[in-house]
Amino acid sequence: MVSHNSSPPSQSAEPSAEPPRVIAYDPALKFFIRSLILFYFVTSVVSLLPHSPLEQRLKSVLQPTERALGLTQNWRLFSPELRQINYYPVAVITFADGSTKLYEFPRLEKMSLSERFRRQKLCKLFQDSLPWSDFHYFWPYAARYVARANTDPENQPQMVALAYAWVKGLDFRHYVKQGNLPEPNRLYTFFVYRVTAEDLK
Amino acid sequence: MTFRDLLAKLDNWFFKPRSPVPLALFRILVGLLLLQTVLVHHVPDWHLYYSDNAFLPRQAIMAHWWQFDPIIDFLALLPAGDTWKIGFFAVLVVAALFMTVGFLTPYAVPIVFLMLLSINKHFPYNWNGGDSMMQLALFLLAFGRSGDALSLDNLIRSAKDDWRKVGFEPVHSPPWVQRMLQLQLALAYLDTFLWKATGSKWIDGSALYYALRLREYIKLPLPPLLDTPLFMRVGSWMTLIIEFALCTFIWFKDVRYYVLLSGLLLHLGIDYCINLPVFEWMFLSMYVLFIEPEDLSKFWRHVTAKIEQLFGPPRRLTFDGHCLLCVRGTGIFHRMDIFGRYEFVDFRRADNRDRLKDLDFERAEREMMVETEEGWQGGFKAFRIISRSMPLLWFLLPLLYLPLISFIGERIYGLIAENRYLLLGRCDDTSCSLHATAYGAENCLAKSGSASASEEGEPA
Repeated sequence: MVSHNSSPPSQSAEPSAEPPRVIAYDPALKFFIRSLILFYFVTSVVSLLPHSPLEQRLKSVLQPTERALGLTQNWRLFSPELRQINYYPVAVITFADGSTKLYEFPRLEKMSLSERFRRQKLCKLFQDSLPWSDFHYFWPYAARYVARANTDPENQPQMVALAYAWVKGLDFRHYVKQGNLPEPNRLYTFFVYRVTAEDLK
Repeated sequence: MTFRDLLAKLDNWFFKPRSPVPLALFRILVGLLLLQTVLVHHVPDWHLYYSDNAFLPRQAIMAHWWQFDPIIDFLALLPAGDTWKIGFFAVLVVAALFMTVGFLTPYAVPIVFLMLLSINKHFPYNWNGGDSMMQLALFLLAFGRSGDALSLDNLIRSAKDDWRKVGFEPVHSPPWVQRMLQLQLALAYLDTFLWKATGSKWIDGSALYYALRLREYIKLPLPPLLDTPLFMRVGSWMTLIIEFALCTFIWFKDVRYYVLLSGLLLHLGIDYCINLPVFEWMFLSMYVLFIEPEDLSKFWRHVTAKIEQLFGPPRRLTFDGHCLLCVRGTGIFHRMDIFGRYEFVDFRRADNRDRLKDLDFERAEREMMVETEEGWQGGFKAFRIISRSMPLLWFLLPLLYLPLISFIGERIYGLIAENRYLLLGRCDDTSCSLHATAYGAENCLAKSGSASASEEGEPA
């Protein structure tokens, strides 16, 4: 706790001003800590290196430990470049009778301030991950999730197309106020999945 | 300077013992941010991320994300069923609470780190930079002595000491963990600065325009007066300058606080405009690691002085300096009294007599007394008054105002007070000789079996 001294020490029972107790390390512990410092520092720097043959070589050695301990880091948010489009992911579901339905993944911009604050982690999943090619392994799982969320015993989903609605037009030279941003008006389909009976179980 | 000198200086920087208060303060802030992360941000969509029917099945994550790397994920070891996973999160919340209040800190911090790591590995697609920084910080904190100050651990440990002799300054230890965290923060700023500096939009000053137009990130609308090309340009360049300063000039003591202030304004500005909960605050919480312990004390003295101006001078609280239980109990109150609302007066000391003329000494013999506007109050009632004026004891208030609690409390207090010398014994020889007074000298002398008079505070 923060100590305080609000009255003359001679009168109230204030603690004496003895020097604080000190903990020192023995040489073996110091050696271990120095090794740890070196390991952490090297791991961090390698984790942050830009892509290069040297980085690949170093990562092949360090990455298993780094990933196991969760020491991977990158601080590239909004850099080096920023995207110039706005988009949001959707799914187009085609049912057995041929009808289609547009399924919107949760959209933060449609939520109230408190809800989009609480549920901001959705942004990472649906906005920053789902539409991008790094995520392609998981597209079939995402499509199955959407299919299961839209089952209808009378009219089951047969196909799920993952897409994003987008709009170009962010250009600093043609300044648009934040409140006048255009709505996404184009659709780009990046994955189509044929739903099986197994998927709906 | 030789290379050897440089290594020696570096060694000194990492290992010369210093106060653990900044690290302890950081532990509290990280604990609170972790609680926010779990309770506020994980809970609303918990089923989507972690349940048996999650958006991505566990097997898919294992096959495509983990691949062949060794991974620590205790969640994956749990039997099927959401109940176990909910239990896991409940344990994490408890561990985070323990970490925040500093209870069993050496165990709580590593446990929290491993559990957070498990959550990350189990579902990495809801993870942002704030979570990453928190995980890195917890890894380092797990090796540190952050429980040596501002903690229940320290309170319990120090309750055994006579605070009048050892004081309240926490044990000093090598600050290498604090140094590593400082380096980590500077490294993050350096990395983000270098990446931004290689991008054309940050250099031409348009970056802020694009960042503030990504719909999913907008938190609060920009005030119309600031939504101008000029502000976007100045904002973009200022971001670069401040981030550069935060990895370079921050190491110079004479300009450090200006750099931290500019960083604070930058992050508050981002937090106003951009919806990235925890991220900004995680970075800001690391700023306390750059504040000198003496400056933290100075700042706190300023706060207590302001509180004194607002609420008046501290009230007197008397205790029996010959009773070990009373001294230890008062020591705990002294530590809990973070705003300095009480002046702890040993009524046994002769030099305190003049200041306690209005005190009923016979009653003070029986119970702890506290000065109030209505005069001196004692026993359970005093305890209730003290709890009211110490924010760290507010959690007790609902209990202290239950029906009949006053009656029961007085009885229990009376019982303990009557037997206080039996419970922990009387003061030892040293403290008797230090604090013997007319009121208690005869008892002390009887206990020590010595006929010599006390050296200080002779009987009045």
